[in-house]
Amino acid sequence: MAHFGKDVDNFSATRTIRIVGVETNDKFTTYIIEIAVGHYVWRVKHRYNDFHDLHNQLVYSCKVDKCLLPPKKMFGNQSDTFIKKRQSDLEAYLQTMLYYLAHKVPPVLASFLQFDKYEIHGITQCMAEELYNRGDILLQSRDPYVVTPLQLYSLTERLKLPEPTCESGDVKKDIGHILDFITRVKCLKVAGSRERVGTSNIDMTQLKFDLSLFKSLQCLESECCHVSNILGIETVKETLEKVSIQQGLTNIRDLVLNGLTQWKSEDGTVLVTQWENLVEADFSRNSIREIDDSVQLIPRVEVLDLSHNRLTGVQHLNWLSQLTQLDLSNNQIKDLENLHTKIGNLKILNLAGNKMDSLKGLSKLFSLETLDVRNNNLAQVEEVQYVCCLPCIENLYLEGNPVNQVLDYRTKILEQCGDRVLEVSLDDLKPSQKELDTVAVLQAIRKSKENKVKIQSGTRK
Amino acid sequence: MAAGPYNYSYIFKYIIIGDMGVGKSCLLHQFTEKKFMADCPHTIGVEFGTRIIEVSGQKIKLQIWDTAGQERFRAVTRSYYRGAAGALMVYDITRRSTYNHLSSWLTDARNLTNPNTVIFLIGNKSDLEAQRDVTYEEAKQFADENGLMFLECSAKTGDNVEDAFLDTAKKIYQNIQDGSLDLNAAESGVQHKPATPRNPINTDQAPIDKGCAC
Ligand SMILES: Nc1nc2c(ncn2[C@@H]2O[C@H](COP(=O)(O)OP(=O)(O)OP(=O)(O)O)[C@@H](O)[C@H]2O)c(=O)[nH]1
Ligand SMILES: [Mg+2]
Repeated sequence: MAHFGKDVDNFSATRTIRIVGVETNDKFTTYIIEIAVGHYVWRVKHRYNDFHDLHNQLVYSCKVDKCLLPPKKMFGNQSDTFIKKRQSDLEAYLQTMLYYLAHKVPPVLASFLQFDKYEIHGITQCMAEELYNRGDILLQSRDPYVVTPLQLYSLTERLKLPEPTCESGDVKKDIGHILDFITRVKCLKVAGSRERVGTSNIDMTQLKFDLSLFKSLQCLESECCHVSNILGIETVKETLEKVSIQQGLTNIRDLVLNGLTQWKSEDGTVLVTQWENLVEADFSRNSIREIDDSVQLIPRVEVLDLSHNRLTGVQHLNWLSQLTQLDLSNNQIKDLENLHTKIGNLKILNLAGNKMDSLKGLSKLFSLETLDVRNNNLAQVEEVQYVCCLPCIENLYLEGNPVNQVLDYRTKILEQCGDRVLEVSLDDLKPSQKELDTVAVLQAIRKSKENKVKIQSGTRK
Repeated sequence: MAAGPYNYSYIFKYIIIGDMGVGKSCLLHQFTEKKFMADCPHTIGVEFGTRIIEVSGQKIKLQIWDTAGQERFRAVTRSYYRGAAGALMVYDITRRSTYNHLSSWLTDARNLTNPNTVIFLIGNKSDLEAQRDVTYEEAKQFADENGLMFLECSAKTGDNVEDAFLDTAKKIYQNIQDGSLDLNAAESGVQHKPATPRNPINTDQAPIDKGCAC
């Protein structure tokens, strides 16, 4: 990627600078400068006056020859031939500057070419200065430290370069300040994007970076960045308590095992260490089709979010004996047979936006307090009743199902709740007094019916 | 942001150098975490640690670069020397070869740091007395001849570890006090830091495209 200066190993980045076009309006002309380092390219736009300012500073700070910049012209400076000529003169000027100053690009030139956005020295220097000034404040804040994959990539690559930690000579830009910060920071958010960075062709989804220096990381969030690009997971997994990977996973094992294939011996003994401290895992908005057996390595997880994936069922959750909150919303789940044989102590279950037509499989989740099954295919009161009599149920969300259309839907459901009808809230609404009265009547009728049946069957004997 | 753990008035840059396996990372860990890491993997590239100490009533943050001893990282390792205020040069008292290599480490250190960099020689693993391969006297003489400070330490028991890091800082601080170390020189390895952060109100982050005066 973009870096001016010495080469790493055999990596030799060819760099070019060109003025590829102009934009004119009736007042002034803007030159479009294209900088390429290796296969990374970006563009910046400047007017002649910007060149003029740059040049003055270079003359002052770097003893550049004053005559190198094509001179100002007051009149007739909008003609086509003039602009063409000036474009090539300015291009030659920039090429000369970069050629002579390449070993240590001065800050004014670096910022003229926007190195702080696109080039690893510029990017890391900018981070270093930011963290020198505000690192301690950021450490005290509860919010995560937000970085882009490009910043992390730049840091990773910068550390491989055999260059002094403070190549710019400005102590505030010493990369030591970055390390100082990242070895202590607790929450990190990697904000990726599928868009190209600024005016460049840099594709952040392709950049690999290493987190192993994040020694104190408790919380890692990442968006739009495939986990195969994240290196150093083996190190951070020891401290992580919360992890959130969105739009970056195809399988849970991509993260949990991080590329390892041999993790169990033939007799099933696990050969790798567990994620000892992980209690919250958010794998939502990915393309997971199946919960694989690597969850065995995250046994302390209490909260698991698998919403917005492609699950058709649940597997291997028996390994998560601490699980109390499970979000499976917006998947493709049709039925969950005997869920209680897989999960014991679940309190909150979200199954909204699936294809469930029966809740039979949930009938023995005796610890369940909240169940959200909005927007499924539940049509029959009989298929819903299974969860109404669960001993701890408090919140039931059934909206968006065909069963909502059933006549007297609310009272029919509430009736199934038996004695708990007072504690339950259905679709975020506690039963009204009128409903309670109706339910009481319905329950009484049912009881007497049942009694009759009993008596009848008794006499038959 | 009143006085808190984040207030300090100086930053000193340290590097730890020496052959692989002499215990550099363990020394750093012992110093920053007060624990011994028995199964420490070889350092890949670089490790890093910080700790705030106090010298003569001044809070000083040490930014410590722990380098890899393996030859293949030598080029990168060398790049960390520049701007170091202190260099801890470590050998293993149970392996003579690591002691024999000191002169080459010292040459690097002298060439790549500035004349004021305090170089501290550490003979590590002093807990392994039975396997000793280098005597105290011999190393002490080497240190004296080359003007180095010297201690034998154990990253395992913690013996003398604290002293090695602190004595180095004291010496650097002394150099500042008597004027022999110029704080304004870019490569002094020392930064004076105003105790209160510049911008205590605004705590949101700067996204990358905010740009800065780089
Ligand atoms: N007995 C004893 N063992 C030590 C001591 N210090 C380190 N060790 C052991 O020596 C081995 C190497 O220690 P490291 O700290 O990894 O060595 P290093 O100098 O960082 O090595 P590289 O990173 O490869 O350059 C480890 O197995 C440590 O457990 C010590 O003071 N006493
Ligand atoms: Mg090491």
